[in-house]
Amino acid sequence: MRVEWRLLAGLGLILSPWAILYWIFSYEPAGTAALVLTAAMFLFLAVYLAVQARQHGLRPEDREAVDLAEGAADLGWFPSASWYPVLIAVACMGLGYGLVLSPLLALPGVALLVFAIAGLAVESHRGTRVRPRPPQD
Amino acid sequence: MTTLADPPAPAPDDAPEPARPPRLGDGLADWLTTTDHKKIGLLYMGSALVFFAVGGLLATVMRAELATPELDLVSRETYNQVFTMHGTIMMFLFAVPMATGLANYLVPLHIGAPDMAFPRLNALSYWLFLGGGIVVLSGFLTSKGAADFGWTAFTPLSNATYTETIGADLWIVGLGLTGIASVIGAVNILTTVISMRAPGMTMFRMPVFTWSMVAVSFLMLMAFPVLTAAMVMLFTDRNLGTHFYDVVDGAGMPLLWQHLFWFFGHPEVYIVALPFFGVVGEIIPVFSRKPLFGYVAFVIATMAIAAYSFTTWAHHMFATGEVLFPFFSGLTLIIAVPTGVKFFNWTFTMWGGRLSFETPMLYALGFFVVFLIGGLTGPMLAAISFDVHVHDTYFVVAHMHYVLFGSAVFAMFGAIYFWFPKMTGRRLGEGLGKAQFWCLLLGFNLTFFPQHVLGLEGMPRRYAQYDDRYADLNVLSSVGHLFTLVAAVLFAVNLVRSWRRVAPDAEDPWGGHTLEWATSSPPPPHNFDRIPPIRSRQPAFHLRHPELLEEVDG
Repeated sequence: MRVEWRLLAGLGLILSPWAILYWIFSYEPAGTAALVLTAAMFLFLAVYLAVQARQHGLRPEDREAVDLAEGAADLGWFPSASWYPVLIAVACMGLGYGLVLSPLLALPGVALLVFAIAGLAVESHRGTRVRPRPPQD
Repeated sequence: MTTLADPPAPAPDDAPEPARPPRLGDGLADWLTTTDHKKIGLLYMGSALVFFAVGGLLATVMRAELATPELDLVSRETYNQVFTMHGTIMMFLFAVPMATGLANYLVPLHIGAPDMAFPRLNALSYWLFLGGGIVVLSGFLTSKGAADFGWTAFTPLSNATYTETIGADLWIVGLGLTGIASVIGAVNILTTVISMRAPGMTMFRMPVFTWSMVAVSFLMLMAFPVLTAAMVMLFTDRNLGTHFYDVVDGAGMPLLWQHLFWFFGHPEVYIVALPFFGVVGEIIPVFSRKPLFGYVAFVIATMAIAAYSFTTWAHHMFATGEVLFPFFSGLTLIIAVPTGVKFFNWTFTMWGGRLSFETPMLYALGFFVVFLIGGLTGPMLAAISFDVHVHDTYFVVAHMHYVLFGSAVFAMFGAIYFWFPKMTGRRLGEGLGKAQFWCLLLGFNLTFFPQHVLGLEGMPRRYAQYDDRYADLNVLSSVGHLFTLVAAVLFAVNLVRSWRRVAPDAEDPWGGHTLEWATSSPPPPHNFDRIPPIRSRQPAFHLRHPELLEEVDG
């Protein structure tokens, strides 16, 4: 992950001097805050990845000459289908319309949002609610 | 669960699904609940094309209104809504989701991953984008119509005093949702690229499209939260009586909105453009039969553009007179340099190559020409002495359309023609494709080139009526738009016609270089039955020609 963290560090380091220069010459708070925070967040991510890089060393995907078998492992849980993402989005729409039009719409939106986020969170323990369709043909 | 290496002997269930068009009603639930990055990518691209059609029809209304100097088709109020929603739809609901959709489909294939890192989050990102888009568009159904303050929503015009419509609030809330969707998508793409690459797929072997999406994800991560925050403040200003953007007791500042909006808005321009730079960086090498010239320079240029795009926001605000002129003028000129580097990459990739001009290549070259013209007017506008004269005139409209139409439309059609076989197992017709290209190139230039002149002559943007002396060029512009409409119809016809027949040669019609061409078309669930060894930047090419491995850069 050496390339990854150096990339982020590079972005942060390019932006830092411009943030300082901008403040010195303009005293304009909004842009300075945005620039400083952007640079800081890039550096923050870089530090996190640098720590990860130190822990993991060179992974198979970081090396040029490597046998495919070296990367063999469970990559993770890939749920085949889930109803919760679309439910969360519908809840957010309800919440949005509620904010603009009437709280009567926002309340069911919030209820649905809580239900759907909870469902999404526990889905990996309870298993997905959708049965995968049998392959066709 | 998927293991990459040593796949089990393919059971009949695992056999790649035979390509067949999805039938209506056949598993609506499948599409609603899917977490497959390929299906989500198709949903993204399909929705983006629908929004593109809506935005295009709004453009037709504008061009029809502007065909004569008088006000004869729509009222001024409607015209304001039309150009506002045209800009909003094209930027937020067409260009960004189209790039995200392409990335959803291609990034895992490019790096040899079975799916995105967070499949359900990926689905959430799509549905939030669609929900946000519907909320924004539903403004048209309210009694006073949709938002009408321009897609930039400058305060104080957008505050509750000057714009009291519900459509404006729906615009704010809806774009907030799509902003959150973009951030989620960016997290997903970055995590996928950082931790799910196949063995041997080092960062500097990734295709340039995937590199571009890494840069775009950085931009989305940093820029969209600023927009969301600005939107929240605008919403509370309008509805809850806060005073972020108006002056009360010496606090609050109308210009704050412009700073925040453009701190998002300028990276947004590159969020739209960079993915399509990547697309062109994929297409040109394939049709030149050469690897991309200066791959590392291309990647560094992409990252430099990403970094510097955060330092140029206030060049949109020169006319306010309240910004640091030398800083933004200078940095705007600097950011033209890495963009210029890419033109060298593309040019010298074609130089000495064995070129052929299938439809995707034509679109890539169309992008090349159109974006170059737009790119040249960019440094002109960076000169403040020039900018203050043409600010808010049609010159800026022309510049912006050359840049954004060049990337998000020409390069997008290139991407669709190029990857359509991979995504569907079908081919789009070459004849219709070429006819569409020439129609679009003619129509686009006829529409927007005269607008440079109109702008220099002083015609302001966003006006429904204008002085008679601008009439001739406006007629030309409106006629040009008709050709663009014909091109759109040709594309629709091509899509429908291609659907009937599974193409036998869709597996790899162009002789592609990158990893996605090493799997079937369309790819099986979880993408690869077997990952080929990755020993270079062109794994699919070297799978066919292992003897050439030594000759090309590693």
